[in-house]
Amino acid sequence: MNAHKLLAISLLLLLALPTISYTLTAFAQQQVGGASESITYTRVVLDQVGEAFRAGQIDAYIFGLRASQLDQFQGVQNIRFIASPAGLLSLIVNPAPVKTVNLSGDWSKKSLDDIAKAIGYPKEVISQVYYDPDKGVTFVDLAADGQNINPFALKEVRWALNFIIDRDYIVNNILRGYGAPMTTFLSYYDPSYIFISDLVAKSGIGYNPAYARQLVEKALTKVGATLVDGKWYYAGKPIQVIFIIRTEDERRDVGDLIASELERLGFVVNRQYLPFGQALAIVYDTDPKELKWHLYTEGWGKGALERYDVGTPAQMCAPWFGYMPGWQTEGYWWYRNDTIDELTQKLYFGKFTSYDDYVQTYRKVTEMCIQESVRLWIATRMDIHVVRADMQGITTDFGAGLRSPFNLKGMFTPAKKDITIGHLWVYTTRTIWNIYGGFTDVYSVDIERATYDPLTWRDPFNGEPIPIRVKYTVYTAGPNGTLTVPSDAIIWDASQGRWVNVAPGTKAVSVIKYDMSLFIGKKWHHGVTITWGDILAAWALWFDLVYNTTKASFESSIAGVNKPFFDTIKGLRIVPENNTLEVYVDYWHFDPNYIADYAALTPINPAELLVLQHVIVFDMQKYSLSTTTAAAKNLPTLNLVLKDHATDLANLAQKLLSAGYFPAKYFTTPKGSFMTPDEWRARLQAFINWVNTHGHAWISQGPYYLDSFDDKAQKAVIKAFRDPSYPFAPDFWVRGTASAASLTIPAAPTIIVGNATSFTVNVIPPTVTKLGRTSVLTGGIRVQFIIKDVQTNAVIYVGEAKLLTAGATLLTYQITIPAEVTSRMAPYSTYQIQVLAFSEAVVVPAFATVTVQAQPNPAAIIGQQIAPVQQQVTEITQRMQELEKSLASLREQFGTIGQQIGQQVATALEGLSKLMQEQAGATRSIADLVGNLSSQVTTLGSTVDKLRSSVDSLSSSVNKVSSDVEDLRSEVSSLRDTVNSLSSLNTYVIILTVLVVISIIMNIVLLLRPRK
Amino acid sequence: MGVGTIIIRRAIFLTIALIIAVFLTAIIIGATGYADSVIKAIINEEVRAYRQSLSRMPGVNETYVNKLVGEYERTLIEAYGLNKPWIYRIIPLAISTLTFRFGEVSASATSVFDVAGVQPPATASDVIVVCLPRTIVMVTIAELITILLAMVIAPRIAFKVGSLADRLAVAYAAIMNAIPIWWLALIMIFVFSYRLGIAPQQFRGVIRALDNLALAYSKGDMVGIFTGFLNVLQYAWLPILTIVIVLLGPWIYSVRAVLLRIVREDFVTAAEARGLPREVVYRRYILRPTLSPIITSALLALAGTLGGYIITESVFDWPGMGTLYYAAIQSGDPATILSLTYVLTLVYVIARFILEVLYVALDPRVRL
Repeated sequence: MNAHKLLAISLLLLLALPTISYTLTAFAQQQVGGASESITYTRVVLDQVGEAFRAGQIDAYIFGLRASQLDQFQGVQNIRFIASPAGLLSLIVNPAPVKTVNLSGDWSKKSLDDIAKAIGYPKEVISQVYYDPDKGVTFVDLAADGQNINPFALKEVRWALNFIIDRDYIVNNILRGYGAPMTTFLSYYDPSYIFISDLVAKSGIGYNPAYARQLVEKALTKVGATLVDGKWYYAGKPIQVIFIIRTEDERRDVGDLIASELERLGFVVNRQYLPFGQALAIVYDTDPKELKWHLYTEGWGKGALERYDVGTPAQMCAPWFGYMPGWQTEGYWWYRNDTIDELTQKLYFGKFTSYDDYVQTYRKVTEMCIQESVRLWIATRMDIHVVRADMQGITTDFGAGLRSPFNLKGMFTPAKKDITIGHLWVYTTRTIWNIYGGFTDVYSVDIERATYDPLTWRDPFNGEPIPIRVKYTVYTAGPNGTLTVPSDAIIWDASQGRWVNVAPGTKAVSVIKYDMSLFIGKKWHHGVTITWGDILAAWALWFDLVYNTTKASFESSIAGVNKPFFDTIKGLRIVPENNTLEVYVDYWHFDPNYIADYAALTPINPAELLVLQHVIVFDMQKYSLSTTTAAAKNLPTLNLVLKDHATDLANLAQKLLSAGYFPAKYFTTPKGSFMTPDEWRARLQAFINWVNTHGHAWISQGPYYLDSFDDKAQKAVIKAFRDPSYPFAPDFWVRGTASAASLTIPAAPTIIVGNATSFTVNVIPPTVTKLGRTSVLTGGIRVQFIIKDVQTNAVIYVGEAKLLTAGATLLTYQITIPAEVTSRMAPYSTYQIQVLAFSEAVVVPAFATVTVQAQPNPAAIIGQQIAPVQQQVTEITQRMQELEKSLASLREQFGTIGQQIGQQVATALEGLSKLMQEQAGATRSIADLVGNLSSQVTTLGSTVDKLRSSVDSLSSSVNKVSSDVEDLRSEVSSLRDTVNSLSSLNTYVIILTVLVVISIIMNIVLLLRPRK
Repeated sequence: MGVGTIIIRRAIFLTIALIIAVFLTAIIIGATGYADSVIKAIINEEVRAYRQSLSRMPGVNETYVNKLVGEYERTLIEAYGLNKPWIYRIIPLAISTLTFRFGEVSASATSVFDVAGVQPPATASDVIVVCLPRTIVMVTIAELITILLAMVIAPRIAFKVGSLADRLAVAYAAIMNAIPIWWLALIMIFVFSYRLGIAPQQFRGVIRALDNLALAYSKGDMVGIFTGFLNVLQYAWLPILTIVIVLLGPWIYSVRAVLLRIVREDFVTAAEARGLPREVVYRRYILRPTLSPIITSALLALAGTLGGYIITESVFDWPGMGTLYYAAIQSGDPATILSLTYVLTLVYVIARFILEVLYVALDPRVRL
């Protein structure tokens, strides 16, 4: 009996447990602060992540895995992959000449023929003409000089390379689908792609080796190279190119693929497989003109999601930025393009004057950059993050994936309150935690992001700046006008070391009024109330770092980078009555959110912590803030999470406390002070207590506080900050999962050569599902279509669709293909129509593709068939005319004979003319007949068309079914492989363990046996 | 020649070898431009990152950006010492290393700091001092246990050549000779750490454990030393077990081979024929002549362990001497490379010297 009772009770308890834990989680959801009770960050090396999930050791892995590292998850249950764009692969081509001829004077404006005559080389080999006004010399670069050749100095050959890169293969096989093909510096994962997608399509770049061969043949034959047995020769030697292939990652496979294609084009490829250091030493540290390399597989990290990108064109195409061959190194040969330089600087330094100006400049530079082909893009690479399948509160962040602060703050699982996140490292030498010179690596940032709330951040779906812990209004007189800064606005005077009123008559372009209610009166992690003193100190200490000459020269790398920003800050105005901070700034953008984001300076650490850092670095020179100064001055870099550094700061606080030091200047404006000495002392004491309790000095204001940090054990713990004054519940951070728009083509269009065709497409706008609720984002949708000739892979038209009807959940667009386009199509040729729907709300576009066969025009067919009849008719008419003519002459002859006989002859003639009329009637009836025939042919044609389209759709569905079956089959076989490999591994391990155990036992037995 | 003269001559010879080793290393990393090219690549990468961080600054122009980047690059070149030719940097470094004044680890060598777990600035001796104990508790101790086990087991099978135990031992040795330690290490981690859950999944914690042990030792806290030791053992047992399993086979085999050669000598047969007890034959006639080759290989093997096992260390995520050496070479840090070469060669030379002395003491023939 008793046993039964116990069993029943324990069963009941077991049943109740999930409910209790669920209630607890639900409760946690109501509270403010982080969604989980605590998050432990721990180190897990890359090849043990699968095992760590299997053993339940971690609940998420936040370091970006590559597709090739996913094999270890075979058979691991209950996990989910989250992929986000992380980097891109490109190919840099060396366009350096084999010879440069100098001409005195400016020849850059003269024609190539003149220059060719002057230098005595054919104009086809001239690859670049550059006039140096300082030296008064024009440098004429030659791609080939009779002895040597660099085929890639020729723009046409570089352009041809675009067509030998099989980007789809690379994405599907080498990146295993975790990527997106790129034909320019943006892919459809970039919000700004919407501005250039038609240009990209029009460029027609795609895998087309036959076309590439054609282009190369044309270009190389022109400069005197010859193709013998499929190999290119110049001056009797095979043309050889050096291809530097990086070995560490997927770039090895990509490099091999492209190298093979180059060989097929007829080049001798010298493949050099090199790691980081050696590869860079050749590519960046040799003059491009030495031609120690021709091609190099580059890899790039990807920045944050940016709705209006300004930096990428400069980084990827502009010589001035230093990433193009020549690298802006004195004494090297430089690739030059002044127009690209000018346009990219306009974008990069924000000199555009309107939205249209921005878009036009961006488009222009993209077009030029694609044409120049000095850098060829291959693919966007995704980072893959792993989470438990039951993890909730996940936001789709198209920029940062799981690393997004929305995820770190909002993520939880109903199964447990305390979760563990694996990372490759928790601490490395470059993991610096200080806001001035640190947070340059992912390991510090990925924890820090959970511990502080920024004023503004980026929309996870489209990269638009959005307010987080602030509300703001923006007033601007830009781009050309100015506002007057009020005379009671203040500015930091670094020479006097105090806040002063702005000079009378100070002007600024824009003002942002930040409502700081979500800061003032709330608490820092150590319990101290956030005041205006904190906000003033945050600004004052930054101003001081940049403008105080002693500080600026000590930390020159930080001051130099930040000075341009603070130069644009014209004044601050504090309005404590309504918690408003006004920032007057010389900055303009057509999107006001960008202005607000630009001038937002988030108070991340309390005032006393900032002051202590400045004292220990600048006054005591015991530490540096940046690793650069650390290296130059042989000092440790101040790292707030390291125990000894924190203890040093706490000791300093103690010393300041006993010395009665009070830095009133940072908190005192001409209107009065925002900090009392008592409050200051209390703050220092609170700081000391924090360091004593937690062993580190990281104090901030976000939903999690840093509880402990162990650099040696590679472990950090953050805990939920449940102070009732904290403004946000965990739900706030859940922005939901966004699904891209989807696109359907209800009926395949019929294209008749020479006729305009229109058809409709349906767009389901992107949706966001947040905590079980789905909402639709209808705004800003653009539908574009691209028509490609399937045989030649050439793009023949790019157009934009027109909105027909806009419903709440369905938008219908009309696509019209003009007659001018269809008349260029060949009858019975196949064309692919690719339709893309872009949305401003969610970056990833929707795709749909339909393939159609162009039909000949029925009128034309009929025309062909009735042509012989028409010919006959014409002939008969001609003959009749001849007859008439002879009749007329007869009449004349008869007229001369006399009137008497005339009567009789006239009767006879009348009979003849009757006959002729009858003949004409016959002709008319033939025409009727033909008309009848043609209408019948038309109906026949349309019936045939209908039949064909239904056959098409039938065959496409058959294809789909068969491809599904194929997929299924491959899945089954891969499953079987997995099972096989797993079981063989198991046997292996068991056999080995048995062997080892036997040998150990043997040894022990032998040991214990008494000696005879 | 007297014994003293022989030993002194040996000592001089070994010292010269040591000096040559260090200078040769200095010339190899310096004259080939290896160190410079690695550091140059690191500078380039940092400059690239710096340039990228300069985005979105209105009111500035190309000149300002280039000025900043130029200054930054100059600072780095100076800080990482690339402003002086290698001969003025690396040769003086080699000389000071020889006199135990180890150089500063270059701030560019972040992987060296990562392995050691110390913050820059630090000297090469700082990083070696923290890495050496980690290798000792893993590799050296494992090697020592292996040697002791082999010494006990091998004689027992050497007398029964061809028995089942002997054949098994030989087979075991052959298999283990073929298995790389790092491979077995992977298997052991998957089995013991993840499947059975009786070993730690993260071995890097040994750094903290060793730190605590050192702290307890410096305080003279006996309880702390004991718990610290247990804590270190908790991390070290699996790596030690792995190494012992792999190394034991070859060791048993080689000790057995040495013994077999002596067992078949005439003087052993003669001793046995004289009817001496087996115990006496073993101790007097077999053990003494076998001792010198066994001690030679044992001592050299132990000295060799201080260099660490690069791959096995990385599998266990155990930042010891092997990983340190690898990181130093990878980041082209002359100070660490030279110091490591010096220290490891020095240990080897000392071991050799001890052996020379032991030979003289153990084997009378050497003195003649």
